[in-house]
Amino acid sequence: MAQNLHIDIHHITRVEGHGNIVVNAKNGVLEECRLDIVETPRFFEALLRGRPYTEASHITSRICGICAVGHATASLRATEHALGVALSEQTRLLRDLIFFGEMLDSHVLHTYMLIAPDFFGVGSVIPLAQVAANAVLRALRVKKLAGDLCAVIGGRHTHPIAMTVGGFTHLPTVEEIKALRERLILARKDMDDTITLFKTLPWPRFKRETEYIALSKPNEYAFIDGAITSTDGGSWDVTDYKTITNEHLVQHSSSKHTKHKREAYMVGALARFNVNYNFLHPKAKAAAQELGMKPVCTNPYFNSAAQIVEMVHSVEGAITVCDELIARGIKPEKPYTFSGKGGAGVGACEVPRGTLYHDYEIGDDGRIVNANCIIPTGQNLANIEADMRALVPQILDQGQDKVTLALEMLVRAYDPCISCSVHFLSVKFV
Amino acid sequence: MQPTLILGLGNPLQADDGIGCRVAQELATRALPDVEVMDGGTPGVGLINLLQGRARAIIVDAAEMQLLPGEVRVFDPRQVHLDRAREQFSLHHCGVADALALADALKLTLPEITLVGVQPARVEWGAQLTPRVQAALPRVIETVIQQLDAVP
Repeated sequence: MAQNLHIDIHHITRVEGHGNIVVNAKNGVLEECRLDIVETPRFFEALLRGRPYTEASHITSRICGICAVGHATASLRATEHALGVALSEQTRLLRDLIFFGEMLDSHVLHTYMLIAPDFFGVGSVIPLAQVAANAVLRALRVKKLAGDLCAVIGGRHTHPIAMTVGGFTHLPTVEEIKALRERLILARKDMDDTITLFKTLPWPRFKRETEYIALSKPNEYAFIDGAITSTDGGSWDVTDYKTITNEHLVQHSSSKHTKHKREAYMVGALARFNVNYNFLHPKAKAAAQELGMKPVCTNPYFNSAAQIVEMVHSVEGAITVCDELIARGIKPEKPYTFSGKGGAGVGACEVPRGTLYHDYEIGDDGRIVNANCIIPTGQNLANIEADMRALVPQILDQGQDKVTLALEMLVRAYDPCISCSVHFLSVKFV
Repeated sequence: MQPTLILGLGNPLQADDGIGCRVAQELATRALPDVEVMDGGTPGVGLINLLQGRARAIIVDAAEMQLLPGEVRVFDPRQVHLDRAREQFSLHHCGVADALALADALKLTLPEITLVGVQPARVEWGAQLTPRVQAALPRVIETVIQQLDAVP
């Protein structure tokens, strides 16, 4: 039977910001298949130009309430590379710790609040809370731990305030780290229960080979710094990021697309899993096995499963860092003082949604002259469309509703942050 | 039980949406007994975790109330209709309305909440408050202080 299909989803639900899916098929032939992005125009450089370098991480951490630590860290690394600032071991450990906290925070929200409703066949986390209250409460409990971790290390919930160029303006006490460690140990049970829940859920079956790109390091699962690495082979310094991202305009999206060796590449949890699997904590590898995934995994829906694997890795990683900090003790350190010489630098991190680049030029007056930022979602847009083009012909005979749901779930699996939107209230007095 | 929370919400990179954060920053410099002041930014569903375990919270946030820019209204979030599209639930969009709906669905006990809403003139990328909302800042702060003495 020849199928006709017209799908036009305005504002895909449960993704961050606004995205539209348009699919047209006539007589069983796919004619049009695209993801429109309605994004606010580029604002990043305008926000930073002329501002003192000391403000950059605080400004950029406000771009997003979910990736606040990620933006702050990429920003600090860009500034530190530009100004030639070396980091102490204590600073590295504290940054690793808060980063594990953000990874846990973002992934638990995405998997439970945005992905799980599809598996349970409900419209959002609010009805999910009625049919699976314990699961939602578990997510909130893990989120509270992650949020408190960010507050202890970063000095504030949501948007860190203590992270600064070269170190921290406020240091946690060993007692606070010990208390966090206790709670992280308890969170292992929540991780086990998370695996038990998600491994039984009906993960969509779909495969498409693509290029996976993530930062990598010689002896750890890279989240902060590293070399840009591809599953198609090759490794590049982060300062060469533009030769990887190759941003270009496409007609139907206000957001630029990127491509490297193929028509598209993927970043995010699944890309990291595929590039850096060997450096996952053994418990995270065991989680992957239970969830039925091994590298190279080419099912994009399993990006959410890779997030669960990374949650386990982050809990274990955070416990290890706590142990090191407790053993070392926390020592007061002198903050960095500006030398009066500017420079240029790139900071790169694996934030929850993939590789994030901040690229700054700082003048000799300590003010930012130029700034560029490439977010993970921008890098994934072309890959999502390539997935859609491969997926739709395979499921065309399932009818409009099932195709629509499959496409929405596909886009959600990428955990896209299409534009960090306003959240202010709309009120009607009654 | 933790102290009363004055929580400023919003994104200071979105012009007038930053009014809540500005109020929190100003109030943080004052010595208010038995009160914790927090610049919460955009905590999303994390709002629930910030509120739990307290008897009282005063939330300051930009609110589209069909009023003139800078006008201030005090209300109980349960006594007004907070627009929310449940199907649209997302982590960034998740503001006060969604977080309260989720807390209700989970039957969680939340504090008495007073919302101090400020009508924005402009909510789009930009790091400054617009003049009329900036001018309203002392009035918003005064309103929040008055609420501390008011019985919810």
